[in-house]
Amino acid sequence: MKNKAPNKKIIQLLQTSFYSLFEHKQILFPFAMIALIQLFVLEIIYFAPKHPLAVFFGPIIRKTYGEAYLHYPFNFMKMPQMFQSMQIPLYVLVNSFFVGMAVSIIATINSDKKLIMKNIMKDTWRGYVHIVLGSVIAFGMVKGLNLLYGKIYARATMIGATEGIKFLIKKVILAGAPYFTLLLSVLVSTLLAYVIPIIIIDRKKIFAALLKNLKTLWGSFWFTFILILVPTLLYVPVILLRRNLPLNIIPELHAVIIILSIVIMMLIDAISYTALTTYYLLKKEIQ
Amino acid sequence: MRKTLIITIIFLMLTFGVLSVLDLKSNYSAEKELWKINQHFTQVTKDPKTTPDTTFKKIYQDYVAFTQKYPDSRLTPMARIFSGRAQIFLENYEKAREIFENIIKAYPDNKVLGAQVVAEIGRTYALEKDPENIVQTYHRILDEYPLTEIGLKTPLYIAKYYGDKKEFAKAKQAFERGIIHYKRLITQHPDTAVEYKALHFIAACHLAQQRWQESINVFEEILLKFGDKKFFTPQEAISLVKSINTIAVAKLNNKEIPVEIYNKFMEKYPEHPFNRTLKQIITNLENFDPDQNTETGSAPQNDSQ
Repeated sequence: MKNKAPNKKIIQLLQTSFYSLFEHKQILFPFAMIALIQLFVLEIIYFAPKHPLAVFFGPIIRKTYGEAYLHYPFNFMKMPQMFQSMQIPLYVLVNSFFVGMAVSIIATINSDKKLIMKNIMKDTWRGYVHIVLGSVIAFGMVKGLNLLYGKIYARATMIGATEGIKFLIKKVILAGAPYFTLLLSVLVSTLLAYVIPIIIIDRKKIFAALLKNLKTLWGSFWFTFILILVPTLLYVPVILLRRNLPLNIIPELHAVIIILSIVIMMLIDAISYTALTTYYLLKKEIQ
Repeated sequence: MRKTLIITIIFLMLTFGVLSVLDLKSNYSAEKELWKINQHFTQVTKDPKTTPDTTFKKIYQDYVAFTQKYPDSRLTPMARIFSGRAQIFLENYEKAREIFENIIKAYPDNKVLGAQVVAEIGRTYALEKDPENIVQTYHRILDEYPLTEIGLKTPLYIAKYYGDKKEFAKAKQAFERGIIHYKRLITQHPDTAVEYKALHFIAACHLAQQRWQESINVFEEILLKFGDKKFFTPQEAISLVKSINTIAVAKLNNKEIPVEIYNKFMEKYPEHPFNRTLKQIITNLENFDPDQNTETGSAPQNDSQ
């Protein structure tokens, strides 16, 4: 008898995942650690132009961005860019580990075993190299797609039309840039959605995990895409705030928006990975 | 887990607290405070007529408080200037001038600041419509701060002042005196950036009086004398060449003049990196037909500096 796929009810799965975060608060721990580490990085960036950190960071900022960004209020204007550049090593080396931990916690809770943090960390360390490689691949894909979008954006700016279909295309591409970027990251997340769960739960190496990820995605690509897209929509208010707040008048708002984005990303990641891992475990059970 | 989270949060808060305390009264704090006062000041000066005097008084007090809190900050002189400007908006011109004079006394070695402050004093006289003191202020800048940026431009400001008042004879006299002043500076500071700038201002004096040939002669002198100096950047070169071409073609109707000048330059500086551009400009000039109204003198599109 052919095995049936698990029930593909997105809202139900997301609801269950959301309530699991409160029922099993341990799942939130790795994501909270990611958020706290990012807040620490933001803190360093905030204090970098000031005494005493300016002694060390001053020459670096001066060389990379220019003298102006060591002074108020220009340091805030560069803050998003500085924070973004720190995200790359953080995402690859730190966030990936904690996401692996979260997956391990979810799997342990699901199998009704006792949650021992030492074992969770051991399990995650075991697959750490492969998780890092998976993150590098994800980062590379996001970067590549963003570069491609950058070329489309640059081409759109050259459109001279002020009305008609060409003007509409130009407006959509230019005004929609942050939303397209978000969509591209959702796409990449979808394409690599089950890599970390496979590495942690099935203890596969990276290439085997990538292959199994594709097999898992086969027949459930759109389901997975929407599963990731729905919680990601929580980030849209951050984009809207960034566009509409008086950042020139109150430069500190740059930092406020980054803090908000850290908190919201924590929530998005927690819901997404809980839902993905739960779905993967359900699919495994049935198979 | 909970313990780890709590420890991390405490660590974050401690770090924030400690670093905040260490930063108190630093340059950065001064920048932040001054920026906020300036933002407020800029906002109210957008429509000063509808702004009550109490607001300007408060802003003045904010600047004074800033200078007392950060007496040694590099931003304090500017804060004092802004406090003077706040008095200007209150129409307390005497008080404003007193503030400005005190700044000059407090920073006697800072010539750039001094010139700026004396210019502010001149502004108060302009608002009081006191022509005698306005001109006196200009002369004070010339005497005390001749080599500052403001000081170098002052002869032109004097001429423009008379020109705006439609006193054209005085304006012409001011231009002539300006040229004499610049030539004296050139004698005192030969082969320096001062001479370079002075020559530019001499050319500006000629241009303002529509003395086209004299202005081209000065531009030629700048090009040939300073072609190998480090402050003669590609942007400066392009700007100079554009001026020469425009005057020669549009005003003197003679495209041979710039060609001759550029050939002299290339002869004097055979290895100069700008020569490639000059050769292209010469070709453009030679092909230029004024009747067809094609553009001249701009650097070729595919040439990179």
